Amino acid sequence: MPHNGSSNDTGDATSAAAAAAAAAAAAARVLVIGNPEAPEFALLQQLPPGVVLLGVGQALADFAHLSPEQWASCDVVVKMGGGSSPSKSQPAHSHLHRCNSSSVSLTQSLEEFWPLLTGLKWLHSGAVGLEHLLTPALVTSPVLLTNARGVYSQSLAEFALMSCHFFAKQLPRLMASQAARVWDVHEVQELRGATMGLIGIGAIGRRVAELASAYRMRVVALTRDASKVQQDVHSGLLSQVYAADQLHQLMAASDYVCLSLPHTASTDGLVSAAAIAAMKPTGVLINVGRGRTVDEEALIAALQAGRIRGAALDVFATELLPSSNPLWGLPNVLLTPHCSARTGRFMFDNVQLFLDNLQRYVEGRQLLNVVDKTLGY
Amino acid sequence: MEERDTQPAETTPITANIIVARYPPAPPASTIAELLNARLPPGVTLLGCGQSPAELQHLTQQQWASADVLIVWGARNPNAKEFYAKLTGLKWLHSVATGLELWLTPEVLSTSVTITNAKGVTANSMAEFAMMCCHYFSRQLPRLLEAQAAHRWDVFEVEELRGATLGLVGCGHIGGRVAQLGGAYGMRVVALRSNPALSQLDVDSGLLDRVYSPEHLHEVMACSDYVVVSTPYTPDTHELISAAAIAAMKPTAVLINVGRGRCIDEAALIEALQAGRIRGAGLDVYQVEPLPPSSPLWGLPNVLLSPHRAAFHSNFFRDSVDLFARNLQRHLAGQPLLNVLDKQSQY
Repeated sequence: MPHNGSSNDTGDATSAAAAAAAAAAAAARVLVIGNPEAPEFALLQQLPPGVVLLGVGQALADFAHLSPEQWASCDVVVKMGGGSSPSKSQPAHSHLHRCNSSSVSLTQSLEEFWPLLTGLKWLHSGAVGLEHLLTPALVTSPVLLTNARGVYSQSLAEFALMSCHFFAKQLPRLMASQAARVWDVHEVQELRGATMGLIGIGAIGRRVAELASAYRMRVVALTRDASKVQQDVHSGLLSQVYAADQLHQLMAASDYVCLSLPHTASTDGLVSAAAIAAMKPTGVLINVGRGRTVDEEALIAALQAGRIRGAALDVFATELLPSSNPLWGLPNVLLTPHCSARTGRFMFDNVQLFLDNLQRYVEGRQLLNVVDKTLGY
Repeated sequence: MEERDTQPAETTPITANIIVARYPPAPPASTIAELLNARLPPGVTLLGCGQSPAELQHLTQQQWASADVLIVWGARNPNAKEFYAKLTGLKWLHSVATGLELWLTPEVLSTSVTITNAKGVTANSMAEFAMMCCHYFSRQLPRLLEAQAAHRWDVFEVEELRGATLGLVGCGHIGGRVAQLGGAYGMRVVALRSNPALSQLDVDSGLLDRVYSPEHLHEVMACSDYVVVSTPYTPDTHELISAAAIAAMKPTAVLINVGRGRCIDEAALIEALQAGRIRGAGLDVYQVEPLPPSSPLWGLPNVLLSPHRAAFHSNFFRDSVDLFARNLQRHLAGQPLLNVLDKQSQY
């Protein structure tokens, strides 16, 4: 088989062995949809033996060198997104690509590729949210789908706890007094003893639970499948579990509600006006999942009326959030532009996760982070 | 504040008489009386609550002499000497907070008066404040809020606390709690304390990565991303965090002080912050409090300034009075008290 697209082609005395390996069934033939200049792709130099890298590119044109046979032989596609090009990877002062515009462009590119990938067995997404990827064709196909669940958990969990501090310690008041040079003596609240209510107890929710637990918060969770969290109840990580139809009870019991649900047909608008109305007036809503799992208009109304203490939001119904959206100007809102998981290391962690899974794939072992395509997560 | 009736003769009464030295921002005397009287067993009397003996004119000489317990509720009260002069029968001095410096006169330190404080009661609240300061800088909160105010979708990279190094200067109740929280985040936690052997168990258990004795201060400053100072103010800790110690810090490091303002060379800190030689500071305590409006600290963009409130959480009075009540029981039973101050080291 020709292997002009392979980066494993050494072209020297060992090429006979390499050719033999390539001629035999390769362990995998991988195509990477992503920015070839991204520094994290240096990790791709450590592919497991027998794995052929067909190429790295962002659009079909980047793979013009591939023959029809190579296309047909491709069994693994990795679709990365949301990273940065090396010239822009300076911490703290970088002007990174907007997270969401890049994921939109990658959606289109997968559709371009799809008809050519007749031999595709496994698609790995470097994102966690998959709503743009899950076309009917992909869902009905036998292609195995895995995602980057876990890669963002620490960063988003840290954001969630920071949000709790933001409200408990009255950070806006502190900063305003500081700006006015006023020695403003007031009470602070501890997180210890407060109730953290988790809607979504996947990788992100679980990490939030662990941190909240370290703060000696009382952690409760809503889940559709109580059997998945039995261990957590036994271990004491979760004080109480609520079934899907007990959402309002969870809202009423919680001082901080942390939402980390994916956006699917069944989670669309889950945190409704009625659910928000069930919250304590001192309650805080934190959303690190998807904006459309909340009735955003109802949330805005509740915040404007002071019916809940506040909200900390990393995600919105529409992103980029239009500057006219009232959320920007509300004093009881902490707003981050869908970048609370964007750390210097997240793309490296992302690629490493793919490589770990690739090793499992070539060994015929169970992959990590397999997505249920019908459920959407 | 009524006196209780004395006990009948057949039971030997164990009594105690309490005076409270109150100073702002302590709650009003009536509130203090309410909080205490609810917890006082029979035989124990609250004789009076005031800022100075002059405010307690109604007390007789005999009553002053009978007062064996002094509660300091507001450690910045400057009238320690006046109180001590009247309290000829003083056996036990208790602070509802942690710091007691103005009350640790050479005279009282040379007596056998037992001195206790409420250390531990505020440890969690202080530790939470320290973690908030870490987040404030790792997430660039000022930048975030500024973009939010401008309605600007400003995407930037954030840092995780996971993997960063937390350097604790002082490893008592507060430092210990900060270590637990930092560890939960996956931070690398190192500590400096006067007696490193006391932390051996914590090193063995993995709570602390390494413990240093005080002569290694600059090493701790140099390896830390977040330095949390929680030392008490004693002769040994006066300006412990010197200009040289600050100069040893990473340019990306943050200094957090929840101990005492005079443990840091404040002028040197201001200079370093103004020059951008460290990333920033999160402060709850200062050399002079309230911090004068003229202090440059107010206006520095890389400072988070808290008006000595990090300890005063909503349950503070309840928890502190709780501790006093437990110590009172021990006092009445002749048992060793909790949180006894070592008069040599003064903490």
